[in-house]
Amino acid sequence: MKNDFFNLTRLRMLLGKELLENGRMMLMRLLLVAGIILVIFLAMVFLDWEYYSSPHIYMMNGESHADDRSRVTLAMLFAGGAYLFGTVSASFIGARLSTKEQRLESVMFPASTFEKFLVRWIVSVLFFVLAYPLVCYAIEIVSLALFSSVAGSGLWLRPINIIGYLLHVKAYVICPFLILQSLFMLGGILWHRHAYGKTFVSLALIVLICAVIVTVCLQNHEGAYYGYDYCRRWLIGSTIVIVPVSYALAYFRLREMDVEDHW
Amino acid sequence: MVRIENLSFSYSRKGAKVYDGLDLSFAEGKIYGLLGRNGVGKSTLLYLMAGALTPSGGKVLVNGVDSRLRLPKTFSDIFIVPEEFTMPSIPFADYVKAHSGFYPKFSHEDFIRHLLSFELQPDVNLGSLSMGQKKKAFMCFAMACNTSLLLMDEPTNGLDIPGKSNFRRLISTNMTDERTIIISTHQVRDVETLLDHVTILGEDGLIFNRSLHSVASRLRFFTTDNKALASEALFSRASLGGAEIIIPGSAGQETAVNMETLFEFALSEPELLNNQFIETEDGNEE
Repeated sequence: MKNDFFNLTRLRMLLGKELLENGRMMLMRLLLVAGIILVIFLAMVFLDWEYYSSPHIYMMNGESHADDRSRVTLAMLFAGGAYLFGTVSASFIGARLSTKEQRLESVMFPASTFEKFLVRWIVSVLFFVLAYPLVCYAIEIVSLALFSSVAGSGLWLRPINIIGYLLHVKAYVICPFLILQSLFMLGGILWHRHAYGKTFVSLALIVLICAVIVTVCLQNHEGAYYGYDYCRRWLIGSTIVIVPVSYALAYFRLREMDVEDHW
Repeated sequence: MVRIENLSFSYSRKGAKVYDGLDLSFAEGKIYGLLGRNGVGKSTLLYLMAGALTPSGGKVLVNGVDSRLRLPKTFSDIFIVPEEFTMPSIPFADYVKAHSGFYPKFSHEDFIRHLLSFELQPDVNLGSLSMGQKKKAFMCFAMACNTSLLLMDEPTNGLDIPGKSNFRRLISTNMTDERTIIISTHQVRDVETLLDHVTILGEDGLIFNRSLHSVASRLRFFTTDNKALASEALFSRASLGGAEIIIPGSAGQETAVNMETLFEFALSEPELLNNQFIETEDGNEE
């Protein structure tokens, strides 16, 4: 293990240690996410059964489509859940750095900062991205089984393509998700306590300031038209800039982290 | 082994410096006692040596490598036992399996031997242990890692009476010529029989740094009720048996070093204490 920046054997051992010590907590969190989404969904549908059992008609590309409302609701819950729980999970990247003892254990562990960062990223970001669709499918199977037994409707037996649904609007869903996830991850490294709340407030302030600036700029360019492609390009460009910068800042902050804060 | 060069450190830019230009070295094959009042920076010095804090100036070299670089190969040869630490609630055997691979000199045989000396079982769940038992378990693992540098911050805090004597046995029987152990403590009586060298820190940094052999050959430690002798001593302090005193020593009259009295002497009259060594150094020694 001569390489002091990255060594695959060391990474594998570090990941094994992380899963051993926190694997159960990760699964519990995932079950909690599944439980919350399922309970909200079932409550919504059973409290307004009449509405949710009627088809939802919508237009797309000039054609009329029909879908049932509960499936649309479920897809919306999955999308919302991806944002909410994805950012919460990302902010957990620094959860075990809140005390001096935890920071000492992390700093002194014989692995490189890059390996430590990578393992934290795998556990709090990648694990969620991979596991969340599985949770969504599990919820869908449970709800399909429930509705089939209650309503006996054939409509419910047709599973939705949740990933296809989320990817349908591509940049508008994926780019903001990646940006928010990277920013909440950065917040998790910057603030070890109440990271989610602090990041949320900080981002809310930044968005508010940006909104004011954009509004003023638009007033000065009255009559200008900003189409779908223009906005999409801006969104993709912002993602390309913000995500790597957030990752780099998080890594360097972790590398410079001391056992006690001093300035 | 460990060389501290011109080390400076403070917790805030405007605040007082904990260390300002500290130079110090720790050799292999010795057990060092790091003593000082609360807040003088004993734990801070351990963290700086371990590379867990960033100095504002100077550096700490461990086997010739700056510990602040935080290289995995450096950290695999340093182990720090802090006063307070965290251990996950998993079986100890799993903990050892997951952690030991990072320490190339880890010995499983040593580990089992250390555990048995503390009457602990390797299959115990760490979550079910008391704080004192966790400390014993952690120290067993730390010793079994066989790192060249072992830093311990208040290692006997939280240990029961048999635990303290087991700790002393653990350290003394596992000390090697390749190893350096630095123990920061207020409980000097728990470790005084172990130490080879004493380093005392004051408000202004290092105030005393000598081997105990050197201290024993130059100073004599007594408890006496003879007031005349006490008044002529280099240092005296009241005790139950009269007064604990320190007088200049001479060859062949060595006494056991009373660490608490030495510590108080160093804090109250550091110059007088250090002069005892300068005067006799002309001829030989050190």
